[in-house]
Amino acid sequence: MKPPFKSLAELDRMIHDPSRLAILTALSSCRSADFLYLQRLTGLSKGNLSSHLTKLEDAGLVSIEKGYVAKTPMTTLSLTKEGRSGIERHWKQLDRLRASALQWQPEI
Amino acid sequence: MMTNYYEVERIRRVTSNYFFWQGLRWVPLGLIMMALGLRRTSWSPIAAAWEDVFLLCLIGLVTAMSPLIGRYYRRSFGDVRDDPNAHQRRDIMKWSLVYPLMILSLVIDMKFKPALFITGPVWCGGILAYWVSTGRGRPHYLIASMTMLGLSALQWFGFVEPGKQMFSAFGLVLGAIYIIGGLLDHRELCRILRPVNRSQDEAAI
Repeated sequence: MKPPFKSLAELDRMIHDPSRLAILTALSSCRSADFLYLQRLTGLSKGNLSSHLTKLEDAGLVSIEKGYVAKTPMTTLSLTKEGRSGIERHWKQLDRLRASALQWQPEI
Repeated sequence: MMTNYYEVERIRRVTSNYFFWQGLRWVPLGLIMMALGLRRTSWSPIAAAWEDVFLLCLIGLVTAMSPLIGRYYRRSFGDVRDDPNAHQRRDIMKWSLVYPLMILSLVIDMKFKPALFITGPVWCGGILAYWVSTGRGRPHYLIASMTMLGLSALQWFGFVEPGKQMFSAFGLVLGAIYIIGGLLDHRELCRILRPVNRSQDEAAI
């Protein structure tokens, strides 16, 4: 059996980054969320969050809609179909890794 | 930022149940409950002739406050649109089982003499069901549910007279639960959704 630690290297780094994982997990729990909510949830600065969202959009995982609500700009984020299946797959992979790590015995 | 399983689970629960964690929404309802509990009792600070007017004004005020509170949360904490399919089971259970049971317990206690006050245990269960189905994580709901049970015990052991006095006590306690629980929900949400750090934004630019 392959040691679970080698499988860690196979994880999708686009999703596995802690900040992007938090963003994708939040968006997987709703239909959409706005920029302010994600910023407060993750504690990221505006610039940092924007950078992560741009990367996720370029990877086709998130869609970004910019609009206005009563003259106030509002940016709404949601997962694409690929994003939703990607984050679900990623969490299942992590769960499998965790289970195999708990059972793994080093070869003597 | 570190993201561990506990944090991720909390992200999921709060986001999925964001509306229910906006505790200030429940505080005005608590005021109405308390007003109903005090109505036609010797504890009421309002003269009997004015109680109905006061209650109607309070209901009007609460109705007017509701969209303002919603706007406050959207502007201060952000906006989340629910996945309509995410809570189908909860909604079915809520409307077909939990709420009817809670109403039925009140009707039984009002109709049958001597009243057993089964409302206490039933509403204890209702509060626990609400807590589980809206993301757990807020320990004050456990205290609130036990308080409902304790209310029944007050009647069972003769500290409160069955009937009008019991229902007044129920209204007051339920109102206090809404108010205190709502404020604690709001405090918990403030803790989880951290304030935006403006100095960090300036450094990023």
